[in-house]
Amino acid sequence: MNAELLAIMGGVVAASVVGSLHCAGMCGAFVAMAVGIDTRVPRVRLHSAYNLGRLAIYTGIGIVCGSLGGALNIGGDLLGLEQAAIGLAATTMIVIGVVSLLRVAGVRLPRVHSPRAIELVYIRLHTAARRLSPTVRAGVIGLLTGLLPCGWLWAFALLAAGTAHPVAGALVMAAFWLGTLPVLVAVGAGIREVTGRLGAAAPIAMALVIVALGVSTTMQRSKLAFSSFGGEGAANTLPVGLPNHDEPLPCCHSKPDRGSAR
Amino acid sequence: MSLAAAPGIDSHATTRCPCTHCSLPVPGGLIEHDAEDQFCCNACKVAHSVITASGLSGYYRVREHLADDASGPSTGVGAEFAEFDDAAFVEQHVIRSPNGEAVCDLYLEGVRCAACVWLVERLPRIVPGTREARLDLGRSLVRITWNDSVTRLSAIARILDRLGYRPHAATGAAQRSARRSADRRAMIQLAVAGACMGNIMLLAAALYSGMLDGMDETTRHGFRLLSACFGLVAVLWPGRVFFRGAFTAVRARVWHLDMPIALALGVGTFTGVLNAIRGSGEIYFDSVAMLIFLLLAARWLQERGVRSAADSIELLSSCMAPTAHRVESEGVRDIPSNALSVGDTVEVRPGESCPVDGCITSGSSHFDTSVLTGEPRPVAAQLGDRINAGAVNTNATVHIRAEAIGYNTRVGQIMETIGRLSRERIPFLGRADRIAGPFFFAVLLLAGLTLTLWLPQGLTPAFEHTTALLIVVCPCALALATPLVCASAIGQAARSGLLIKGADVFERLGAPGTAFLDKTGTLTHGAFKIVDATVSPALLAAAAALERHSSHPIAKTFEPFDQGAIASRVQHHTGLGVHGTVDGRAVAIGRRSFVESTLGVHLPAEATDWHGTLVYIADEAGDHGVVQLGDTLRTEAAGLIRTLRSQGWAVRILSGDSCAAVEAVAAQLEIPPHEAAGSMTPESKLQAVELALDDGPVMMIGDGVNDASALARATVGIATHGGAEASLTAADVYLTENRLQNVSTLLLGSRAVIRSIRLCLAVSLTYNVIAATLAIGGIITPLFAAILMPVSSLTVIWLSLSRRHFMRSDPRP
Repeated sequence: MNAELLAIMGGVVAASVVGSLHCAGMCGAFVAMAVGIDTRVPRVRLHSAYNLGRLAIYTGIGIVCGSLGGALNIGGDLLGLEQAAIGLAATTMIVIGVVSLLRVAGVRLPRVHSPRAIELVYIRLHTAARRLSPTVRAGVIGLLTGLLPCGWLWAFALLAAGTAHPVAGALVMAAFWLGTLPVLVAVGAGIREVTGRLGAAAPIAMALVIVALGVSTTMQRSKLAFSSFGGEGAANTLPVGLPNHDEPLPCCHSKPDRGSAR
Repeated sequence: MSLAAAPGIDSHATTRCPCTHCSLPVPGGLIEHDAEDQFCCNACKVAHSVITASGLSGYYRVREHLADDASGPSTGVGAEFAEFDDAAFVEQHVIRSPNGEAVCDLYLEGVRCAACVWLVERLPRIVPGTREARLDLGRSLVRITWNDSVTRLSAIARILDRLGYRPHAATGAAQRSARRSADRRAMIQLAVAGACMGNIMLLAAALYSGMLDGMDETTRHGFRLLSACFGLVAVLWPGRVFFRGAFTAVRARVWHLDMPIALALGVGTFTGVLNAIRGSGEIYFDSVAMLIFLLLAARWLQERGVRSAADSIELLSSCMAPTAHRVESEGVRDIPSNALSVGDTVEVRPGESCPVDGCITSGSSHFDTSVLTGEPRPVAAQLGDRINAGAVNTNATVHIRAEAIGYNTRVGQIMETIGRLSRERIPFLGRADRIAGPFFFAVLLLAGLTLTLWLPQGLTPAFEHTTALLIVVCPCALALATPLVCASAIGQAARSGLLIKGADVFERLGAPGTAFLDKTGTLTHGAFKIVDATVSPALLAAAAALERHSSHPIAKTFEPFDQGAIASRVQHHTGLGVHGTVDGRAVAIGRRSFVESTLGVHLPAEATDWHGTLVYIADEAGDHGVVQLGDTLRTEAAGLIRTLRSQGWAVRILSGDSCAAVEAVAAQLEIPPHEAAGSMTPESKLQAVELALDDGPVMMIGDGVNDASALARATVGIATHGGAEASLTAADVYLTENRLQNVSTLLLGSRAVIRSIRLCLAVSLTYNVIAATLAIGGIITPLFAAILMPVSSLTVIWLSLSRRHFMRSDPRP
C-alpha cells in the first residue's frame, strides 16, 4: 500500500470523525431500530451486525466506485487526459462543499430531490427487514444505511472513485466507516450528547471538510498512483505508463520468508 | 441584516431551523417556507419517511422529551414517588449488587418501541448517580442500578414519569437477578472455554502440520508453551466446575461423571504442562480444552431448556391479566397488574380475569373459578363476596377492592410454590450417573493395567501411555448424551404443548405401571353441554333468541339452536332466569319456580333419572319443556386409553363424581366397572395411588383440587390444562393445550427420548472401549486422539439434536 493512499485514508478517517456528528442525528433512529428492539439478544452482537452491515455496503460502494473510476481513467487516457477520475472527483467534491457552504449562508440554489419511487423501495426494504430475526435485522438495517441518499456518504464515494482502483476504493470507504464507528456505537450505547453543542456547527464543518479533502486530493493528484496496487492482475485494468508502477507494494516485497526464522 | 436584503439570499438563514429528522440546523438555502417538515439533506428526508412509515414516529417525540429533560436537573415535587424510598419498599424490592450499588426492577407504563428502549437507557446521562438502566421491552421492565448515596429511587422515578413512563414496583427482582447473574457467569465461562479452545486448536493445527512438514524447534516450543497457557486458563477458570463437582461427589460419597472427567483433566493438564516446559512428549491441551467447552455447552443447553419451561409456568400472566383497570377519582385508568397496590379498586369487565384477590365493592356477576377449583360451573358473586385472582368474570362489570396482589394472591402463591418445588426437587439419578461408578472403576483399573504393562519399558512411556488412556476414555460423549437429548426433548415437548418440569420425567415414564385418570375435566370436557331435552324445536329457538342477550355461561349452550329470531323486552333476573318476547309471544327460561311465576303456568314433573342442571323453558301459549345440561366425554379419551394400554399401563378411573356417572363413562371407554372408582375423596384417591405404588410406577392424570395429593404422590403427575391450583403445584408435566392427545404424545415421546439416550450412551461407550484398547496397546497418538475425540462427541451431539422425540399425534385444531 503506498504512502499516498495511507495519507488519504488517514484524512478520510479524520474527516469522517468530524462529519459523524451528522451521522449521529441521521442514523440515530436506525441504530435504535437495529440495536434497541430486542433485549434478549446481546447488544454487542446487534452492534456488530449493524456496523458490519454498514462496512459491507460501504466497501461494496468503494469497490464499485473504484472500478468506475478505473474505467474513467482508461477512457480519459484514450482522450489524452491523465488521471481523469481523481481530477473529476476532486473537482466535484470542491463544488459540493462550496454549494453546501452557500446553502448554509442562505443562498437558494436548485436542488435535486431523490425520486419518490426509490424512496418507496427503500421504505419497503426497511419494512421487510423488520420481520427478520434481531441479529439479521440489525445487519440488514446496516446494509440499508449505506443506500441512503446522503451527500456526506457519497462525497466519500466520489473520493473512492478518484482512487480509480476497486481495492483502494474499498479501503477509502472502510476508512470512512472507521471514522463513523465511534459516534454510531456511542449513539447506540446511549451517548447522545455528542451531537448537542457541536451539532449546530456541523453543516459548516462538513462543507469545509469536503472542500479541504477535495483540495488536498487535487494537490496529491500527481503523486497518487495505484497502478501497482494488487500486483499484476490489476495492471490489466489500469492505464499503462503511470508513474511509480515499478515500485512494489510494501505488503508484496516484505512477504515473510518462511525459512528466515531458522 | 444586509444579507437578507441581497437577492437570492434567504432571510431564514439567520433563524435556526432544526432538521425534522436529525435536528441539526437546516442550511438556510434548503429551508422550504410552506413545508411543515424541514430537512437538511435528502437522506434525512428519506430516513424520516422510513421512520414514519414504520410507525415509529414516537421516536421524534421521545427524543425531544429527552432534550428537554436533559437540559435541567429534576425539579419534581418531592412528595411524588416518595414511597419508593420507604424502608419497607427498599426491603422488598431493592437488592444490592456485589459492588454495593442498589438494583431495582420497575414496571413502566407506555413502553412501546425501540425508541423507548433507547430513551430509557439514557437515564444514567440524565440522573447523576444512576449507573445503568436496562429495559426489557417485552415485559416493560426496567432494571435500574444506582448509587443510593448520590441519588434516590424516587428522583429516578420522577424523571421516568416525566419522560412519559410512569414507574411501578415490580416483583421477583431478587429471583431474576440471581438467575441473570448465574446466566451471565455461565456464558462468560463458556466464552472463555470457547476462546481457549479456538486458540489451542489453531496452535494444534500448526503443530500437527509442522510434524509433517517440519517446523523449527523454537517455533514449536513457543507454540507448545502458548498452548499450555491457554490450556491452563481453560482448566483453571471454566474447567474448575468439574473439579468442584468431583470433590463434592467424593465428600458426599456418591459416584458422579465429574470424577473421571476431573481425573482426565487433571492428569492431562499436569502432563501437558510438564511436557510443554520440558520441550518433549505429548501435550493434550486441544483435547482438554475441547472437553471443557463441549461439556459446559451441553450443561448450559440443558439448563436453558429446563428453565424456559419453568419460566413459562412461573409467569403469572398465564393466569392473570397483565393489565388492570384501576378505579381512580378522575376515572378508570389502565395500569400493569403488577403496579396495583393493596387497597386499590379495580374494575373487572366481562370476559376478563380478576387481577387481585379482593372483595366486590359494587355490582354482581358470575365468576368462573376453574383455574383454582377445577369446577367448571361459574359461581354467582354478590356485593362483599371474595374473588380470587385468576377467576374469570362471565357476566357483568364489577368493582373489586384489592386485598392481595401479585405473588401474595392465591394464584401467586401457587406460582411461588411451583418455583420453589422445582428448585428443591431432588435430582433424579439419571442413567449416565448410574454408570458413573462402574465407569470410574473401569478407568482406574485400565490405567493401572496400562501403567503395569508399560513399566518394563521405562517410567516415561508408561506414564505417557497412561495419560493418553485417561484422556481418550474421558467420558465426554457420555456426559454430553443425556443433557443434550433431554434439552432438545424438553424444547420439542414445549412446542407440542407439554411443559416438562424436569429431565427425569422421561426416565420415570420409562417403565409402565398403573395409570389413574380423573374423570371431570380430564376424560370429559368439564363444561356444560345440552345432553338431553324435551323441548320443541320452535321453543328451543325462542330460548336461544332470549339467551343471545345474556352473558351467563349457560346461555352459550343454546348458541347452536339460535335461528336468528328477534327477542324484545328481554329482562334478566340474576340467579333465576331470563324472560322476554319472541315473535310476539312471552317466553321464559330458567328455574322452574321462575318460569312458573313469570308466565303463570304449571310445569309437569320431569323424569326421575335426570340429574345435573335442569333448565325450564315455557311460553305463554303453554308450550314447555326441560333441557338437561351435563358434561360430555372427550372424543380423544378413547385414543388415550388405547395408547396407555398398548404401552402396558393398567388404566383406572378415580373420580369424585357419583358412582353412576363414573360407571357410565367407564362403560363408554370399555373400562371394567371395578377399575372405575367414583365418590372418591382426596384422601381415598391418595390411598389408591399409594396402594398401586407397591406394584410399580403410577401415573396420575388429573386437574381437580381433589387430585392434587394423588398427583404429588404418583411417580409422574400430569396436570391437564385449566387445572386446579394444587394439581399445578404437584404435577411433573403440565399440558398447555387442553388436549388429551398430548398425554399420548408425552408417552410416545418419553419412549423415544429413552431410546435416544440409550443409543447415545452405546455410541460413546463403544468409542471409549475402542480408544481404551488402542491406548493400552500404546498405539494411540495425540493426533489420533485429537481426531477420535471430537468425532465421537460430534456423533453424539448430532444424534441427540437431530432426533425428533415429540410428534404431534394430530394436526392442531
